[in-house]
Amino acid sequence: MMEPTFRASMNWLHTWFGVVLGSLLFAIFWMGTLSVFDKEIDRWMMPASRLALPADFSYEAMRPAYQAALAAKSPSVLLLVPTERNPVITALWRATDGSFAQHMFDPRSGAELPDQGTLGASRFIYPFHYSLNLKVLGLGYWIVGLCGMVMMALCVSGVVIHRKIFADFFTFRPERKIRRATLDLHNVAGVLGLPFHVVISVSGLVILFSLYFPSSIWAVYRQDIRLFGREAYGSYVRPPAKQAADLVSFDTMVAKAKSVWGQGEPNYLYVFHPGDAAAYVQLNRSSEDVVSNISYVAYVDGVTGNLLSASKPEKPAAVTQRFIAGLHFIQFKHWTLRWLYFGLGLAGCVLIATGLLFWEESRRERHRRLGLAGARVVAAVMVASVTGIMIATLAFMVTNRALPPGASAAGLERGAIEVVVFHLIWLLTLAHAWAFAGRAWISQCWTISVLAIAAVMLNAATTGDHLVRTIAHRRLWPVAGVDAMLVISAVVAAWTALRLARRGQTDAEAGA
Amino acid sequence: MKTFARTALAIVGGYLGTSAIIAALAMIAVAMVGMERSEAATLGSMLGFVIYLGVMIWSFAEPALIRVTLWLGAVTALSLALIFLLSRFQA
Repeated sequence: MMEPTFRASMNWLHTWFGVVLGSLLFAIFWMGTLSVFDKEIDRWMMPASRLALPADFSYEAMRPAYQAALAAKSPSVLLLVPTERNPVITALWRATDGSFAQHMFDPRSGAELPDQGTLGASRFIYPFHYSLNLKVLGLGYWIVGLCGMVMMALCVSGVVIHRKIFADFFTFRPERKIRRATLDLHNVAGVLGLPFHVVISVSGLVILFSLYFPSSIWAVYRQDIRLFGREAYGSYVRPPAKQAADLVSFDTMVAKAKSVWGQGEPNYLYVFHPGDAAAYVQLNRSSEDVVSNISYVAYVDGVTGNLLSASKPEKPAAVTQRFIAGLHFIQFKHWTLRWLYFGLGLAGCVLIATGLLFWEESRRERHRRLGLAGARVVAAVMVASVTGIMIATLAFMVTNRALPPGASAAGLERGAIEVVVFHLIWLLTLAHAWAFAGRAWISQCWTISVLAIAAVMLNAATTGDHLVRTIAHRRLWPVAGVDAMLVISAVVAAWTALRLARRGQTDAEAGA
Repeated sequence: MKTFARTALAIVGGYLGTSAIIAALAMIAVAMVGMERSEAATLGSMLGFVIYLGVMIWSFAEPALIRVTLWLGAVTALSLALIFLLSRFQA
């Protein structure tokens, strides 16, 4: 394979790494782009949580959520403070059988909300983005990590092989042969989004630095590796006293933390040893107003309400790491930037998809001449990994609105059925792409269009929150946004299908 | 076969080599520059991504695969020797 020049070797790297890992990269970018609006998709998939954030929210409203975890005898409970985007109290604890339980509570009354029977975006789409939901040996993290490294290598090699990077940027020839248009689109998305693609890949990796490159931590900590968490993050730990005691008022704890922070509210309260005399609470200052991922932590005694420890990352490497991680997490409150991330994420999807398409289109003739059977499989995988995953995602959402509350089938709970449907439909799109080689793009685009409209209609039918109503009410804007995106997707997919069909006709006429 | 060797060297060899280099760098930073442990560990780890990317690109750009193998092997061996010496020195 060795190429004589640097540019040729980079061309080889770009082509083959792109083809081999492009499908996975697309899945990661697609799920990541959707995760920019994970909370909004959660509202769409969990109708009971379409609430308004009370202006006079009292932290004491978290008491019933805490009591529920206490009753479940969980060793700790994480309580998420309601926010504008996530207007419910979320409690996570460990059930007696070791599994994690997540429950939602009303931010006003503190009463538990009915189980929505879904993982939603925050527990399916978002973890898919960084772990592919592959939990065996943490394999998913490593595959995504490798894809992140390869994405950076693709960015570097892509720049190297483009001599006329700026000329290409202004070149778009949709009227020319489709292969040329695909490459132009690949170049525009690549050049326009280059800084984003590089930053998003590197920041995604840096979030999990201690997982991906732990050797430097092992080297300097050796036997007392657990000290790293304490020294780098200022974590505080103490054992339970094995003596019962009541938890102090939540408002008192928050007031104590705020007295150290100066300004800002907590985004979560993590109660360790609930019900014990040695209970303590970790309060994390919300990073709504900063880029950095972890800004300020305070530990408060759960019984007396006294401050135990407070820390703020101040050392340069730690601050840098949190800042880079924060760039990726976008927990800051900035709607323009959030939309920009979404748009650039979509540009990344376009970049990867057009890269795959260009490779397939430019070799299709040769593959046919050589009679390569594998080429048909590769082409089918490409269809399934681009339009297929979109169809699967839409099927996931349609199932969410079509299943009645509390539904179960074949021993699967409602939430699990949604996940099974996602994977089954994804497999089906692959089978379809293989069976209808050459025509699959068009029919799958039509399927996207139909499913997206079906999702909007099912949402209106099952919740009564149709677009006119959702636009009129501020608390329903997240739902309006998701519905609007679905309608736009339907239009774009239908337009693409029509265009592809017309192109197919002219090609056939030209060939005849 | 040659392609496989090159890819394996870039991905597996590159990862192991980078891990050794950053471990040595972190230890040097603590022992000789007086950097805090948590800082040296975090910085070393973050540098890992940059070094790994460089090794990856270089493995594909260098026409003679043996050159990459030898260089990477030598730097890794040097790093391991440094780690060994420094841990002796500290203990």
